Amino acid sequence: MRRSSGDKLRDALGLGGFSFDNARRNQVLALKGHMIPKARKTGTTIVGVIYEGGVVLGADTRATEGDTVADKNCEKIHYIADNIWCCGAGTSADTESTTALISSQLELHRMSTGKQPRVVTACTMLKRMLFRYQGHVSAALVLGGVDCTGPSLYTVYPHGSTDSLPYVTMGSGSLAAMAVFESEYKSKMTLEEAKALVHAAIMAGINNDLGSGGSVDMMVINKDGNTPLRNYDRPNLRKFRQDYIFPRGTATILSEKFTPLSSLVTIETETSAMQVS
Amino acid sequence: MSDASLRAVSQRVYMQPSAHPVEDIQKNWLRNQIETEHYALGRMYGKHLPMQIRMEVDILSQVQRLPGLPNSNLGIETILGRDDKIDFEDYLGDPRMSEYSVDMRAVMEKRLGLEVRSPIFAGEGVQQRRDGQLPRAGVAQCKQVALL
Repeated sequence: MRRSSGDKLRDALGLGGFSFDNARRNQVLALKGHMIPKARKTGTTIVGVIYEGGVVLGADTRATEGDTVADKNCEKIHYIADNIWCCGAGTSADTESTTALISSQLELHRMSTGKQPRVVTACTMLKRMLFRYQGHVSAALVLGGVDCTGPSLYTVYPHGSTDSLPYVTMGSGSLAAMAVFESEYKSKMTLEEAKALVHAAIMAGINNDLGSGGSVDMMVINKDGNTPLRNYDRPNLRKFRQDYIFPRGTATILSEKFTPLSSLVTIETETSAMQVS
Repeated sequence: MSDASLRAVSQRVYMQPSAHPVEDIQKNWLRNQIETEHYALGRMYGKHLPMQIRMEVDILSQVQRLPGLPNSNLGIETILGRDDKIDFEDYLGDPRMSEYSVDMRAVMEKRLGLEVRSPIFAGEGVQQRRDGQLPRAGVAQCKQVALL
């Protein structure tokens, strides 16, 4: 049976929410002595830089589940609005649904105000939502965009705290990427300088952090719109590939035996009329 | 381990009010949010404002369709400012998409006070209903029919 929330207002509103059926089932299994698998480590390098007139976001493309690479070319730069994009680190399902939810919320906000959404608005919506769930929604984000106040860049931590900085990094490769930023960042960069810097920072993550890898994705946002640079650089393409094509009959047949099904079962044909009631 | 201990363990786990910290957050957040907001409104504009809002919420939450039919909740959502927002609770685990069917008749009977309260009223030879509820006088019952 569905559990009643025990709250009149919630029932009156007909609210849904997260289901905890599996949490209860897992508690029973744990008490019965079954091993419950641990949460897996996450790994990502995501960065953002403000340049003269816009923002460049960057991400690696490796998705891991524990020690296994689950996807070599996944997308970590998510859509919020045409002028706001968001890189996500942490549990990929959480970053995907968080950014999708805030994107919808911001679109409703845009329709009710009739104005282009601001990056601070998205940032406030994100931090309020994440703070509400006290860090259980594991999304560490780099939020960047351009609005009527110019370019702005934020990091949002899973517990809902935020930073506003001219260059930011997130994820397990954030230290490698930040090392590059700290040594090479300068204010009022051109677009080409910013792209080169973001590329170098993501490459530092790909090459020095085990949780990051794959290719370099980038997103340039300025007042003229956004330019996605999917797979801007692919440093880890497969160099050699063996195609296994064998001519028919390579493996010789030593013996062959054919047993027709009718020798094992009797097949009867139904003749009576179909039962309808 | 035996089935009896499985039953005991399950009972213990399913009896506890929440299985996960997020369940507590989900259960209490809206109430806490409204209380905080109303406290602030009361301090700023006087106690009458939150009182009036709460009265309107109470009135609007009484306007419900027949059980089993989805309520639009337009009035109450407008009063609470939820009509132009979207949240996890608006699309995850939507009760309208529930895989459990609602026994509309049972809900109606409960609401109108028609349910049988005590098994004393059950007469001799009255067939027990499959869901464990007792049959009521004047309510059509399934006959025991020999299966052909």
